[in-house]
Amino acid sequence: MNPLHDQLRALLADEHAAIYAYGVLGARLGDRQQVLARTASDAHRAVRDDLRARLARLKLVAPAPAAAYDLAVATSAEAREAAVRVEEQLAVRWRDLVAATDDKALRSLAVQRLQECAVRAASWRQLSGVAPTVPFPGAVSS
Amino acid sequence: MQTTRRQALSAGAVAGLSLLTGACTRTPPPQLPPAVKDPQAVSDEALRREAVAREQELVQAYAAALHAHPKLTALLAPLLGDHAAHLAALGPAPETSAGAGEGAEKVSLRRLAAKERAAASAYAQAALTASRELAPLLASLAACEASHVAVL
Repeated sequence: MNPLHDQLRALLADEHAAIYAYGVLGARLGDRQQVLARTASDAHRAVRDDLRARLARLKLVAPAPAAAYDLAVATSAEAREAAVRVEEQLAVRWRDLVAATDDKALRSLAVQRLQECAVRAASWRQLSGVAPTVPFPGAVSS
Repeated sequence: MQTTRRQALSAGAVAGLSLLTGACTRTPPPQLPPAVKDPQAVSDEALRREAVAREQELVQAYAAALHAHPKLTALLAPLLGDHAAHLAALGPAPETSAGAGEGAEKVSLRRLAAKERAAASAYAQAALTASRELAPLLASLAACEASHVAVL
């Protein structure tokens, strides 16, 4: 098994989960924040498509989305918290990818995705009125 | 134990050296020949030093902004805290770079955002050539500075 390939597959699985999560949590948000959720969801779809294409080029089987995910969101506050968790989890994956490859193009992609996750997480935290940033996005202890 | 010729020679050399240095009474620790440095380690060290200098500059800019705009403390203090954490994670500072004249300058939010944006892209670039040990930290710094731009 190639660990890098495993990471790409795990990333795709998490992007599937993120897209599902944004669908569920977006429904709990007010109109304005729903726009942000939709923008985030669109971004994750684009990343998903890119990951699928990469896996196809590597002739690897792409994981399919699960039929459903365990996600209960009752209020707008819970929805924003769930969005933060989604972004934090993906940030960890992308940061791990940085450490797993010396390929500059792939590293560049991973850094950019990590940045995007950190920016979205900060937006959701800011809307929740908590400290919006963390010093080390994607670090497990952060 | 037999003293080899090489040991005797080097002992003599050390003794001669301490005679030459004269006034220094304590024997200096024996000098090892300089190790051939791994180029990746050299490059990592340069990236780390650049990062420290960048963070020091950001800390100074935030301190100046906080001084000029005390009403923005709630916004700026946590961001300054992130940079302090970055400095701690990057390790000891090079000795020369402190006090690089940002203090008197007027620091607006727009200017802070521009500095953060520049730092985010510099870290993103640095993460490409760093070792696998250093690259994730630089990637996190790139992401943190990007989130600062969004918050500012």
